[in-house]
Amino acid sequence: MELIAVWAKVRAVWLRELLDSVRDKRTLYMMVLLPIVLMPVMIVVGPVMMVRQQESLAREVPVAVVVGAENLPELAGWIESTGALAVERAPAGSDVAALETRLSEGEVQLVVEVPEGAAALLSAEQPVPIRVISHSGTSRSSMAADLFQSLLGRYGEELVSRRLAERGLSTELLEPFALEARDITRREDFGGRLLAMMIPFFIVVWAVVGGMYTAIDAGAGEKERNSLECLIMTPVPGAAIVAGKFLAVCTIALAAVVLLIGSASVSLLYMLPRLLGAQGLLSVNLTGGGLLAMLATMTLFVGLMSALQLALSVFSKSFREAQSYVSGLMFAVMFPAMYLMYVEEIGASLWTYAVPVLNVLLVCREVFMGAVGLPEVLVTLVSLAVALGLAFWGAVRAFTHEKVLFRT
Amino acid sequence: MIEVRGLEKAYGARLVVRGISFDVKPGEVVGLLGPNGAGKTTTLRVLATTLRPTRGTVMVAGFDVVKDPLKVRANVCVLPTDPGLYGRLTAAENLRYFGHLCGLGGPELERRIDELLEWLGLTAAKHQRAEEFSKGMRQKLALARAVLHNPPVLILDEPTAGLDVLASRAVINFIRESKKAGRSVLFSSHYLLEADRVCDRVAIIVGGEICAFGTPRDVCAAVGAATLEDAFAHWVELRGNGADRRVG
Repeated sequence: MELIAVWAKVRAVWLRELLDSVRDKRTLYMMVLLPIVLMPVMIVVGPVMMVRQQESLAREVPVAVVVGAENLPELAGWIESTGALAVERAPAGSDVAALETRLSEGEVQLVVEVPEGAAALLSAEQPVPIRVISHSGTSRSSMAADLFQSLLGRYGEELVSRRLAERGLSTELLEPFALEARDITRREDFGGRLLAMMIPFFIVVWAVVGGMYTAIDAGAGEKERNSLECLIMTPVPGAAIVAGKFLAVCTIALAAVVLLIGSASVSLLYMLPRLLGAQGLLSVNLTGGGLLAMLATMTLFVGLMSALQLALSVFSKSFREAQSYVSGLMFAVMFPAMYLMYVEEIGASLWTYAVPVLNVLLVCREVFMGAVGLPEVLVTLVSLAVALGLAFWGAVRAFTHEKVLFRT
Repeated sequence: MIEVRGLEKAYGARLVVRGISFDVKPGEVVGLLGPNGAGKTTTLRVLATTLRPTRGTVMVAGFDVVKDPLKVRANVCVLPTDPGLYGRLTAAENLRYFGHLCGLGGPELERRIDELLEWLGLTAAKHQRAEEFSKGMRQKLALARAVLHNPPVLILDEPTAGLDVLASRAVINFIRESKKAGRSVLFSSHYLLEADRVCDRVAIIVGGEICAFGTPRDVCAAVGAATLEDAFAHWVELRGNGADRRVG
């Protein structure tokens, strides 16, 4: 009976905090607008713009100025015949510095110098030194340089074939190995890897960001508008008030994380391939156990972050002070998340799974890559549960300590 | 209903309340009067169980504030200086929330909310958000919230501070009605004329000590003052001279 009465009070605090939060524009922005609208934009716009730029570059034929083209007319003609590079012939002894200026201004994309006597060297089967000047600060010039090198290589192969044929030898002499490569990566592994790189990062960051304003409002916000004193004067145990507030922060943060995972998945697996014209290229194969492990890990981590934020918020004197502490917490989880985003690591030591934040990142990543193990998940869950218990205890201690409550 | 014996409260090494004793009987209104920083709010906070006493005993409605804080809170109405309402919640939502925290619910709670809003002239603002309220309306709503569970003890910290004449009169009327209903009322105030009109007894607190405690007439007579204001000024000026007289 007593328990039911306490639960009714916890529920009252929980629902009041939720009602207050959904009427707060800042929470709605962090919880709904950012994950649903900005995430797809962030994920899709960058790669699509990059691909579009590559396509546009591929359509335009770069211009290469060949200084001393008359020294080896065959080369310039051959390059021109491929249609990959437009050739502008300049006589030997032209002002290279002026050409470099044109290069840096983007008027031409490449300057190639063919030395005097190049034809004679070629006839004598001696190497011809060819100087290439590019402006690697621009994509178009570096692309032109790569293209020229590849064309020169092909032209060189043609010459060598001709020389070998003149000697009655086969070109196979130059290729002692016949390489046959096979990639065993399944199609879903591409999608899994992409999600494994991004989703764990979003989960840990949004576990803090999603419930940030609710947590700050529930502690420091209440202090600032003096409603906290009225609240603790009610016949409700401090732990019950904290439990209600904790549930509200968890609810908001969990909703934000779920929305974010949903919108990131749709963007990565559906929108991005469609926009890039590569439908069906990415797919993910998640197991029921893997999903359950990720859900449990994510929920406990959201709980841990909510309790920590609540404790920091109650400890703070003002909304502003709480914002600084919570931002610090956000950076504290962001650094390992960013590091792991770029490090490919599967099968880390078991102790790593006892470290909150790291364990969440590793488990979520392994779930997406289909490589999650039960001992690792169990160590993660126990570690997060213990940390959550400690953080909740800290929040209750802060909430029931008069020095903290009336800190000025 | 309220019994304070040898109450001391220290913030670290700083002693803010120095061994004060007083009592408030059922159906009695006692005013706690003192300059800023005298220890009034600290005393009221100890009575409301939000601060723990450093020394001494405090009984409210028959319960010890240290041993039974939840029972004390269930029997006391506290109106702090700042109304501390939830701005994004309507008047009804604010009251409903505190009703639930006090263990009330259902149609009985809804009836009580309507009754209090009508009594304080806030019926038209029932579904209006508290952030849109004037200061007077906020104070009235805070009053409604405080008495929602009909407690026998009222603790009011400067309930009329910053209010206009009409809002102030509503609060004073409420104190008088509470007295008639047999409640014990303890309130702190800067307004000595108001205290003189409403209080059965007053306690003048200066530097954390009660210098005078009795009916307004006795407190004046003890120092030969014509008004409560003169008596108050007398004690504030004497603070630090070791004077500590109790009357009544």
